[in-house]
Amino acid sequence: MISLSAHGLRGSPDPSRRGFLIAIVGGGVMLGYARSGLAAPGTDSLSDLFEPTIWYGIEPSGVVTVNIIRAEMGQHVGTALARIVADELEADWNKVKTVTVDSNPKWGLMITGGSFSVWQSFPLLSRAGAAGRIALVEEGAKLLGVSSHACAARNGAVHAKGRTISYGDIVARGDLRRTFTPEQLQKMPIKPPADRRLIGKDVVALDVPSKVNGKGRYGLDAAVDGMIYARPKIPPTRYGSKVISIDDSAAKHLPGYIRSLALDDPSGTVPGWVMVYAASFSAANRAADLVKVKWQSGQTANVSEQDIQQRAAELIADPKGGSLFVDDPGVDAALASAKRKIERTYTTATVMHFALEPVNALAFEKDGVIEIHTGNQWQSMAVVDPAGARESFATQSGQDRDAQLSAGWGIRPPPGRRLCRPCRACNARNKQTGEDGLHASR
Amino acid sequence: MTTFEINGRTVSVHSPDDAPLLWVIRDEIGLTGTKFGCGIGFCGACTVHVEGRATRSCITPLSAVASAKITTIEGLDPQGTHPLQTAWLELQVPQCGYCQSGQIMQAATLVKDYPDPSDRDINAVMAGNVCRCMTYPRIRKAIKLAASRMRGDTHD
Repeated sequence: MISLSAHGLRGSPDPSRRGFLIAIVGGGVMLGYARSGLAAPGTDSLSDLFEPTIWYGIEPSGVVTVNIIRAEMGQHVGTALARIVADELEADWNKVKTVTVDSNPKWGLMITGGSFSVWQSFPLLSRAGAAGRIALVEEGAKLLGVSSHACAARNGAVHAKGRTISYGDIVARGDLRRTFTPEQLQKMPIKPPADRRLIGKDVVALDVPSKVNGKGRYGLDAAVDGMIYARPKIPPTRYGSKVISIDDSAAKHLPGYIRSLALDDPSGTVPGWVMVYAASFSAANRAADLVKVKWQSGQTANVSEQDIQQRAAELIADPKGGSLFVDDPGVDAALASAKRKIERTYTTATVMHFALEPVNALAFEKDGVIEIHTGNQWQSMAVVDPAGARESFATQSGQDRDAQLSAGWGIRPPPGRRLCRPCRACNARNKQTGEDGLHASR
Repeated sequence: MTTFEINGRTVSVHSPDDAPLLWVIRDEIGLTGTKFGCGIGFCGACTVHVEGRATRSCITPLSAVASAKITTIEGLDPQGTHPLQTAWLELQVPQCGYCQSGQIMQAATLVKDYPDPSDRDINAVMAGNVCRCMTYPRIRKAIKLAASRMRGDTHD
């Protein structure tokens, strides 16, 4: 279970304290939440203007591009979020695109989970869409030479008295620069559910076509020229393991084998990992089976499923332990006076994640920044503190722009570290299955 | 050097003879639609066609496909509109999508061998293609829809 407040999720942009800006950028317009301390429209620097977590753009072609900070792993989340914007914007759905952004810290907290992606984004995205529509209607009315009251926005265009101007033309010819105060934004007229045209209606999700023709890109599909490959040898315990020795003598004859290294990881994220490097993944995979590593295991090396269940039973039995989900003061009295009591114990067991895409990441240095490309559900956590890692590099974790992933929670730690050459690491299925992180079933 | 044909194109590759075909396709040829799931021919994510037959590329050594004709998801249909792909799209079969290239490639040989597949046929042929998202009910529907269109049935 994730504690939302513990990870700063409450710190997401609060529309009640944010204004909204529409600015001209390049040939198109950009619409988004203003940073605190509203900057004046007309400033050209995007990063000065926008609270960048949530924004979208409209090009003179009429294409609406919605930035998505959530990870796509089978829930079609980008489509759901873009539909919220598009519904209020009265956009032409056929011209709506999504862009999965990288995980630069400028985007704010990036995490996908807790089933909050849609409901938490709804107030922000729907108001953002409505603000855009209002501006487009005002400018469209001017260009048509009619009162904005005579205009209606529908399907990516403003219509009035039998005449029509497309959003693209309004972007190209009008002046959409606007500032909305937090109060104005708060009062945005959001459609009643019955008037929605896109939300709740069947649609082919935007990510589906690329999943039937082989073009969809996942973490494992990221590549750069000259990269080498690696397979990790993962220690017997997640924490506390230390590498005693590495014997790669049996791997040395393998064509393509490069070397094996114990990761120096002062951040404690992947203690005791040994990376086996080679010129191809096949060679790294074979070499990893031949490389012998001796570990000193952490304290939990002999903890079994039974031990975990037993410990849970002890905690439940301890009247001083635990916490109440519902504090009903009458329970103890009712139980004490009950004629018949029925007691049942329900348990959950630990299960494997068995994400079909094995854990993987591509890491390389570019202009003094280490980029990590991987499918990641909790991108913000994967940004390693450069000081903690004792590296002279600024470290930036990046979800590959179009990367999607096959399942997640808890099994996708950032394996990238300072490497001399671009490297793509990937775990082997049997190893990942044997060493899968603890995940309570629900 | 090993020479074979992939999606209608002749290629010569330098990987060693015992390299699994999967990694040659993905890393040397650069076609990434074929996925790595288990590496032991258990999950089906790496399924391609070798001479028209569904084959697990992760356990097929390169030497076994010398001079052979290979088709991957990228080459199943030039426009990506094979009846299975169209049905998959209409019924929105994929969730995370990682296994779906393999599912479609396996299903493509199924509908050739069984033009009117029963649930039993589908179970028998598709059992080796696992889906962590549990899209099986939609896979079954999409196979039947595509097969029906390929037979020329007017009613679905």
